[in-house]
Amino acid sequence: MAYSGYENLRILVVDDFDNFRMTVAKILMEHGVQVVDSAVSANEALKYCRERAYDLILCDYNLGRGQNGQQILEQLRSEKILRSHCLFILVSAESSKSIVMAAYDSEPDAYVTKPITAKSLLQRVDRLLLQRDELIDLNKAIENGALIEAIELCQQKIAAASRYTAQCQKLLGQLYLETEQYGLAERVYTDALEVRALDWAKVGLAKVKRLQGDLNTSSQWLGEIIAANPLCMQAYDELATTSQAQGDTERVQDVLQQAVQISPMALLRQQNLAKTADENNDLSVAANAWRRTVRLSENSCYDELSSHMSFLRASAALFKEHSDQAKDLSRDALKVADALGTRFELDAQEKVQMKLLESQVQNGLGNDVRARELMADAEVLIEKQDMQLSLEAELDRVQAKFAAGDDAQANVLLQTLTKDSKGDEEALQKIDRLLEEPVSDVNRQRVAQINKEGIGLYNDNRFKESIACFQQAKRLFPNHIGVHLNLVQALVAEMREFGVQSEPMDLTLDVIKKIEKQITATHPQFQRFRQLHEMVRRLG
Amino acid sequence: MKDSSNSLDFSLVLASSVHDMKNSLGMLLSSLEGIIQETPPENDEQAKRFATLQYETSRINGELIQLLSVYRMQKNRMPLHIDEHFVIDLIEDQIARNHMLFETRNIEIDIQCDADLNGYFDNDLVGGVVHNVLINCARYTKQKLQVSAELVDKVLCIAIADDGEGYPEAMLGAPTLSSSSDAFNSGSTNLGLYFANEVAKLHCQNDLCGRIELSNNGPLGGGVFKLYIP
Repeated sequence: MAYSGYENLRILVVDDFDNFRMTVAKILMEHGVQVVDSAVSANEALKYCRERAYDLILCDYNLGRGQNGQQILEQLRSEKILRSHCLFILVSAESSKSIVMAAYDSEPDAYVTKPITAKSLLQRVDRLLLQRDELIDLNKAIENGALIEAIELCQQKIAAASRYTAQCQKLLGQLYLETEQYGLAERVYTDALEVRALDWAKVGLAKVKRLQGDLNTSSQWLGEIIAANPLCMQAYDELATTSQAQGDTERVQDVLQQAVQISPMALLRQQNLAKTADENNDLSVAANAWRRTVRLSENSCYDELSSHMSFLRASAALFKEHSDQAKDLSRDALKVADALGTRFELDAQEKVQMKLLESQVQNGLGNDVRARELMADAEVLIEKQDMQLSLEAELDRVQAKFAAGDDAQANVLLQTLTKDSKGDEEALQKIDRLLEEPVSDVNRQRVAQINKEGIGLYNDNRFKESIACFQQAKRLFPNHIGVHLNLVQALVAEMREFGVQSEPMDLTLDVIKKIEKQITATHPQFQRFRQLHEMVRRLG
Repeated sequence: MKDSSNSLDFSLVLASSVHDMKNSLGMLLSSLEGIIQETPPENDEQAKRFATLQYETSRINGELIQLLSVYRMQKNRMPLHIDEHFVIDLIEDQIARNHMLFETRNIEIDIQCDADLNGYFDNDLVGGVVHNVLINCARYTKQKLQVSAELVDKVLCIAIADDGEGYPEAMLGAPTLSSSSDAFNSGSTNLGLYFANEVAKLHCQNDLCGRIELSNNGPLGGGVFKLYIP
């Protein structure tokens, strides 16, 4: 059942070893292929692809310096150069196909492992080309967005019980989901599951549940899929989406952390984790996830300036919690920042923002002089160009001032920002994290809610749970004195009841130290602070 | 990431070194193929040497892949992607992968498999098992191998039969495992069988899991390896 149309094919072979390129080109030409181009690097490959359309691209994963094969694929897809009739085969020495495939954000049509003999390569190519020709109308319809037509074509193929029925079922499920025909999608997946409990159908069904609004069932099913097959990456991504829809950002982070541990190479997943941890104000997880995101961004079409800024911001913030870890991360972040100019064209505002971020990091590293220079540079630029900074940049400016110990200036700036953002909920929520008490409605309700819950637990003598509750509140509202005092009070009660232990005691002392730095004698809770402080002393 | 303890995880070191070896061997194998293609053997003696080179490198390669897989299985890091596949594709792939070996050894291969027969399995893992058995058979068979696949009571059975002397008595039946000292003493680690058995066990449907079986007096008069996948 060999493929018969070789003479009309245009093929590109990408590999930095000429041995492989020549061998492959030779075999293909022996089979009648007229056009076999070969490229030795990513740049050359991209240049060819922009110039002419190929039917088949055989690309090695490891191409030495520059982009790897996977990144070429992502680039081609993002530039929409890769047409639906073009097959992209990734060749690699990595033995476990699934690890690599699950690891990325874009999948090739096939994945072949070296060492590969000429004969088996040709056999794979043969099979893929037969499949391509059989499904060419269907793929074209999808490419053109003609989804209704694509659905009909899928149904026809399934009815004809062709060799590609299984693929068509998968596609049909996705097409129904995209066209919001959830009931029909559900049918496709349940039909498939009746024959066999396959992961793709299970995940598909859970997705249907989410889209139908049944978040709890979706989340429960996905949890079961992961329990049965802890390496089913799709299930993690779906579960993260479902948890996000449930508003449970702690769970999102938890799920994504598990996923990146298994498959650390997917840039978009790392970025998602970093953003979620930022939102949860989990500084250490955020900074590390940003570092990995930035590392994976090298040579990638997903590289974004904002990731680099977030990395700097997150490592600077970490100095408050783990200065050793923060030092290590900051050095990395500065190195990346240095090279940024060659990767991005920074506008005036972005340049200012970079200086403000670097200033924070330099402060953390103890290079006060350098930090002041950077800050001064930034202020000069802002003033000279009468710059209207974005809220994000303004907040970086506030943070830089706090880092430099200019608390008074920082607070003035914060007050102005708060005043200017009146009525803008979204802006206020962003400002909240730097304030002692939140000003946005959402966060005010949130802190009130958590406090209420924690106090309720405390009153029921459930101190451990109460402590956990206030700890979460402390993470979300890092400057909220009331929350910190509540935490201390719960810790004291726990230790009075069950004896003084080093772990809760260390935490208590940390929190006290933090409040001490922030609180003034005129603060309404100053008296309460002194009382609690005294109680702790007596315990110790 | 730094390891907080100073103790060395030897299995990790071994695994990463095996990984490197496997990659080097991959280069070696493809160069070898190139050489054989560019300068075909001039006499029988040369052809035999090529065959030995080819066979031994394939064997080491297979062994290393198995080691890595077993390592991943033990660490629960073996991705399992069970999906619907055509059995004939799997068989043809594995035969194509080793066709040089069969050619240099003058081994004839007979495939008995319905083109429409499908099964539910992890293509890479089951492919790996078939690959190893083929390499092993290439050594012990005289001139013929038969690879067949069929459904037996709704369970997929892939069988590889040879016309050699058959498997040793001690290996017959359903071998379970052999990390036992016996295996080491006899000079064979039986890693291949262990791997095959583990792969089979990963394939379960309802309460039934896969298994392997070795027997003699097969259709070609020699040994038969059978892999059952429900």
